[in-house]
Amino acid sequence: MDTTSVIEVNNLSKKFKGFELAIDELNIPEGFATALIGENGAGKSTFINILAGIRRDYEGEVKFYDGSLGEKELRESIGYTGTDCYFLPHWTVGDVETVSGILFDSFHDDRYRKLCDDMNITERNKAFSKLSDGMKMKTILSAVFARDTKLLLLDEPASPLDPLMRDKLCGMIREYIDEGNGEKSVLFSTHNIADMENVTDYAVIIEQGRVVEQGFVEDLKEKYVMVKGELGEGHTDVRSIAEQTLHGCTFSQYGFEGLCQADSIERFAEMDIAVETPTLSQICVGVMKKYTVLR
Amino acid sequence: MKNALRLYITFIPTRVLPWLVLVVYPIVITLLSITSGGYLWTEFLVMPFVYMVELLLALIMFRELESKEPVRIEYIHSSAKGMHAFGSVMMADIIRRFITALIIFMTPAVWYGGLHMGGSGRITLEIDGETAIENVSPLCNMLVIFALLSVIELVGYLIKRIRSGALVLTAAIIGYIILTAFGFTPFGIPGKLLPAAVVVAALIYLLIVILIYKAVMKHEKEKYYDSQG
Repeated sequence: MDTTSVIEVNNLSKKFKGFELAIDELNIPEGFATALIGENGAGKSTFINILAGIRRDYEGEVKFYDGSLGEKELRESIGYTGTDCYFLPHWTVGDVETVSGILFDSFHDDRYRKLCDDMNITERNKAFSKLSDGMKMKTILSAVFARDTKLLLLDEPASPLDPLMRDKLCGMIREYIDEGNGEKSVLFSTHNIADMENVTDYAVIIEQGRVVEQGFVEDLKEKYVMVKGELGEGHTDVRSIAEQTLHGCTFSQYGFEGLCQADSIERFAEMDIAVETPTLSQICVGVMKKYTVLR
Repeated sequence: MKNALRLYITFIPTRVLPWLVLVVYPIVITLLSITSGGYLWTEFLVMPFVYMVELLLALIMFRELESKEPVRIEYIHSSAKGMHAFGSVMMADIIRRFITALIIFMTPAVWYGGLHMGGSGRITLEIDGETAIENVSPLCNMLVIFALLSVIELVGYLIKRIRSGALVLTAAIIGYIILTAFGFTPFGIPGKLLPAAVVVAALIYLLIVILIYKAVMKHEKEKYYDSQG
């Protein structure tokens, strides 16, 4: 699929003690919802912080819209949600409205109030630090969606939300992209893609600070297959083939199951197996298992 | 200006404190000074009170933000106007402090057309049989204001960056000792030299404010960069 890129990353490197985020090349397509998937500590938040401009000590190149926007215009066009110290702890919903109107030219206070109503943010005079995690995220999302932006960078937006609100968030993201007619994009990070799978167009799997897989979801579902089979008699050979071929292969008394690339399926010829189209969640788990250091 | 004030108020951590800081405390202290007859001795009671209140406000309002630890408020830092917003809040605080001090210390001076040393009516201070001080010029109060604000800015900057309670207290006490030692100095300055002394004091205060402002803004910019790696 020919697409333009909203974000282009080349030779990005950010070092910490005992960890390095190193992305050689990554292009986030414009006009789609991209999921940045990885286990805890994979580097997702660090990467999003760099894109949002709140971390500037990195090496490499990060370009937005082919470098056509100035810094001020770029920051106005990006809506970012974070997970750390996002607002001042004592700010109320009203304070967020006041500050947002000053910090961002494109903030609409009427839209913000409507979003607060729609998301049922009830405790409007309570300090932000005293809100539940779900209410905090709803307030943050209201502030971001109340602006006219072209790119949303959402760091773990679904984690603190209940299932109903996650579904609503997916709807908001889809509506945001549809309204943009190909000019609005969303990049969100998650460590639980199952909740956001129905809104994901493009997936980037990051593990140990490196991009290990990326692609449009439909392409990834053609690239990988889910294989289930029985061990049967002489199962040593079957087990050996499964372990060598499948990502994240699991065995039980009944058989085996795992992810493999579609072009490797011929290795299971003459075996009694079932081949299914994997979900994005299964693809992510299988790929992450291949690269994880978890035992 | 309006946005700077609105933003400044959102940085004040409680609902009640903005009213106390901006309205109640300056008015109450000013009335106290006026109703006491405009005597200088009340000025010397007011001076330490204002000093301690301002240090307390500095700790309450800005300690977390201006501390050595990199507390990053992501919403502000993700905006292109973030640094400017933070700078405008700092300036609003400095200006608020200056206006408060001006009101508190100059209102009695203007009200009574000058300040008195103490007691009833005007008192002449004699040293070695010579008349030293008769009436005290309001310019002396301006000197007190600039000295007080200079010490508040310096000590305030230090204590916001210190974590140890003992060191905070030590810094505050040292500042108070400096203020007390300075206390009567303005009144020993000959009248002809007072305007020049006020100008010099104002320049020193401005220099301190500029240096501290730059230091805090530099520290704020450093929050975009990690201390690790």
